[in-house]
Amino acid sequence: MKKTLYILSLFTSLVLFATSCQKDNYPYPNAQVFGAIRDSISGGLIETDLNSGSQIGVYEQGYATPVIRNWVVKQNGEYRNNLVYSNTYNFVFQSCNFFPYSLNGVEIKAGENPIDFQVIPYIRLKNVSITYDAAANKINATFSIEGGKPTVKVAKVSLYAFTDIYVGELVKKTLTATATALPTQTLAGADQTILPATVYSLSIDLTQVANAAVFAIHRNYYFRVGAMGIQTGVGTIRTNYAPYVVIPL
Amino acid sequence: MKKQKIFLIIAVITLLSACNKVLDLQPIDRVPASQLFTDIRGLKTVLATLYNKCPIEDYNYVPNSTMNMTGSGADRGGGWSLDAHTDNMVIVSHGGDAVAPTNDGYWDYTGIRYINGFFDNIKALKGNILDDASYNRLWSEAHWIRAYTYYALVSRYGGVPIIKKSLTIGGDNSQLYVPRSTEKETWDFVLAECDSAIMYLPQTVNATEGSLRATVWAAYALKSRAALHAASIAKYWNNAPLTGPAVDAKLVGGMTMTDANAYYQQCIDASKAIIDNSGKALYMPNPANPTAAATNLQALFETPAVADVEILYKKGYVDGVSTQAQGHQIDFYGYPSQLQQASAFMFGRMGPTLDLVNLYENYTDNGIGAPGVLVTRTDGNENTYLPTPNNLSLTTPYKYYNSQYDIFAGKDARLFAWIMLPGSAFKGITLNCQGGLIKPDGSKIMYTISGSGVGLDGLTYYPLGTTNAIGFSCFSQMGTDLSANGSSTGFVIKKFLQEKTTPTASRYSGSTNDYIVFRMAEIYLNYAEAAIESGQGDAALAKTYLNAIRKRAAHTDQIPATIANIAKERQVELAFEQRHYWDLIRKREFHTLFSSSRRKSLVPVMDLRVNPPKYIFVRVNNYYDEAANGVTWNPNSYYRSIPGTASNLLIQNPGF
Repeated sequence: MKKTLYILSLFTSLVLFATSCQKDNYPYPNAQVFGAIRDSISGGLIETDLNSGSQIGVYEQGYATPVIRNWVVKQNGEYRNNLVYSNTYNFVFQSCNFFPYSLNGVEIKAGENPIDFQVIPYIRLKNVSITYDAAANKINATFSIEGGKPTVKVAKVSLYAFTDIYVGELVKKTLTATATALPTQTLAGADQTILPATVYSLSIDLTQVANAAVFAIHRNYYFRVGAMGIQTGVGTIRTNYAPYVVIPL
Repeated sequence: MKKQKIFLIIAVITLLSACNKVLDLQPIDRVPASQLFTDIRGLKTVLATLYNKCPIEDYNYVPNSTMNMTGSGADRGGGWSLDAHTDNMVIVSHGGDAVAPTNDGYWDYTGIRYINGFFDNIKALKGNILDDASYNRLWSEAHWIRAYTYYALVSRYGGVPIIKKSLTIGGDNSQLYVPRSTEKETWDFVLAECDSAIMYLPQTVNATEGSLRATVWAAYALKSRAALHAASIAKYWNNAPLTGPAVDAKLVGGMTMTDANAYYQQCIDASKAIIDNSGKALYMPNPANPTAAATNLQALFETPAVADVEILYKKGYVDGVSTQAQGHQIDFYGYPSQLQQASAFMFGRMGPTLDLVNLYENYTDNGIGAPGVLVTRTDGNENTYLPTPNNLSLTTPYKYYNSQYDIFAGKDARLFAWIMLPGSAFKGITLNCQGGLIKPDGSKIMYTISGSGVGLDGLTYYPLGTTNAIGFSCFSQMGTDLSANGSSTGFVIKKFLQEKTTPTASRYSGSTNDYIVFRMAEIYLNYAEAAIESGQGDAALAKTYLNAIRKRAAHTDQIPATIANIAKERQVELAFEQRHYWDLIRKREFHTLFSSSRRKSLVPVMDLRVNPPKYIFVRVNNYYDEAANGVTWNPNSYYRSIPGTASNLLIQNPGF
């Protein structure tokens, strides 16, 4: 009797297990979208911050009140989203480190959809060199900059340091300036005008006690130079970067 | 058969009469409006509810949670004070009080419906149980509360739906979908509501009719604060401009310099009305010396009743031990951990930062108001902040001190009045904020109770100065979350705390000291800022008011009324009074101040390399900010996200 009861209950639970859960009637995301945000002039990737950097604002069409979804952009300017429903989409870029840009009515088909966005960065960093001067125990960076449009000015140029690749304005070590080594230069007045001939020189004096503490452990450190533009009428402006450089210290 | 028929009839009758009109039943657990509003006392009960719903950011405001967090089980969730979201203070918490916007979810359209209903009800009673004077006063009072409510909304969200009358369901329900007004319209509404409040509010209140009800000066004060906020946004919007549909529709921003100057003028007029006509003034404006000034200024917040001359509006409390869901817990949360009671946690975690302490002047009184520098080194380099005290170099020429207290000699009286300094006395203890030890061989032990060192004098010394588990108030077990009682900055808050008395022994609701909502010092500073920012008003008066506040802190010189000096004075005078957060918001300074930035701490370290051992003071990045790789303010955080846009169909703010 007991045995029958066990068998019966096992049988019942098996039946319930097999029949209780049904897949819902929604289709699975069937499209993958990937690509990069590129400089429309040079074709290069537009580097950003991973967190609070450039974002892709996405509106899926076909709803009465489309709600924005934000897709994250990798810090080198590439992106990938493998869970997208095939549909028509509008893409909006605001509060990034390039001029506001939108692309409407983009048809995303099932499967892979490579899409590059061609935009105009606020600032391009050129001729970047970041090196370690062992004799002086300094990290030295030199570069020049170019405005994406003639109206763009520059507010600040910085040399950032951190212990991984996400180095930037929002992920950085606190660096201390000395009389001969400025990690950051805030510009004012006429200095805000962008001149292609100007070469910015920034450096980190590793002999300074607080800086020495930051780089106390022997390992790889990541350095990146960035420039913050000034431009009216575009909302929040974020920092433009050159690719990072790894220096073992 | 006949019998059966009778039964059937009875059954049918019973069936038909069984159901009352259930939807028409009056609930028996609440008082209906018709009954409540037959008596002035009922009316006052409702008024008290409205006051309670007034979004005052007081002791019971938890920025990460809600307004009015009271009750016997009301754990703060790790936070009190908007100042902990700024460079004024770091709270060691398990709930997170990082530099971030308020997360209080304040969207009190229920409260607005209460207020609008109140207007309807008193209108119905006018000429009945309410004479004209009583009606007018209640009418103005409700306008004051509605002004305060919309002020809290517009400062969080920008333009919001303005609802001036009770909405009713039925018929065309599209009228329920009230769209957002522009930010400018909403600020104008707040200021107009203040004007309505000003019309009939009394100049003074007395105990019989309720001593904590709003006066006309409370209305002017709210107008002064709100107008300055609106003016600053109009002027400084371009420091952190935003884009998107909400900006296009001017639901946020969209104000011009003309608007800014008009708002500054409204601030000037409202402030001047208080200064000239209220009879209110600074409490103890002419102290004999800095020590007397410190005593006066501590008393202003410890026992606000003595300082009525300065107070324009305050919120009171009754003891939460005897009356449920009342009282507050500033003392039990604020007392240094050396005063902690058995089984209590969350003690003494409110640490004023070195950034704030740095700002206080000393008494050289040289006419420029430069901050008084704490001398930690003999080479004059006071701009170096180490990641941790372990990074200190043994060759750095630190200055030696005999006690933890001496370094602060000669600083502003307000520092002593409102911030508990290492080595100072409080309720029978001497505040111990030692954070580490340098042994004679140069090895270091920092931020831990473990370990010890033998000095050159043969005595044993400890990193936190003691092995007694409640013998220190700072730098204990940092990073270990719940058990980390104590401050992480080297300082402990003192403003508001009861030193002479000890509140009832209840963790959550034993404190009853009043919270000062508006006081004259703020009004003076509002006037000064509005006048100098706009070039309107009287610049000489601005300087007079600015220096009156400094004189009350025993300064003897007159510093110029510059925008920077006024901002600094606001930060040091109104510290921990929830103003600094909104100052950084309205002047759009948060995102430049906090970009992977670290707030600062001052760590007293005992150096055993000298005999007898002496203290050195190490400037370091705050432990928690350093551990988080700095704190950042995102520019879209100047406005909060509008709740429920999918159903209320409101246009969302930028970045959400």
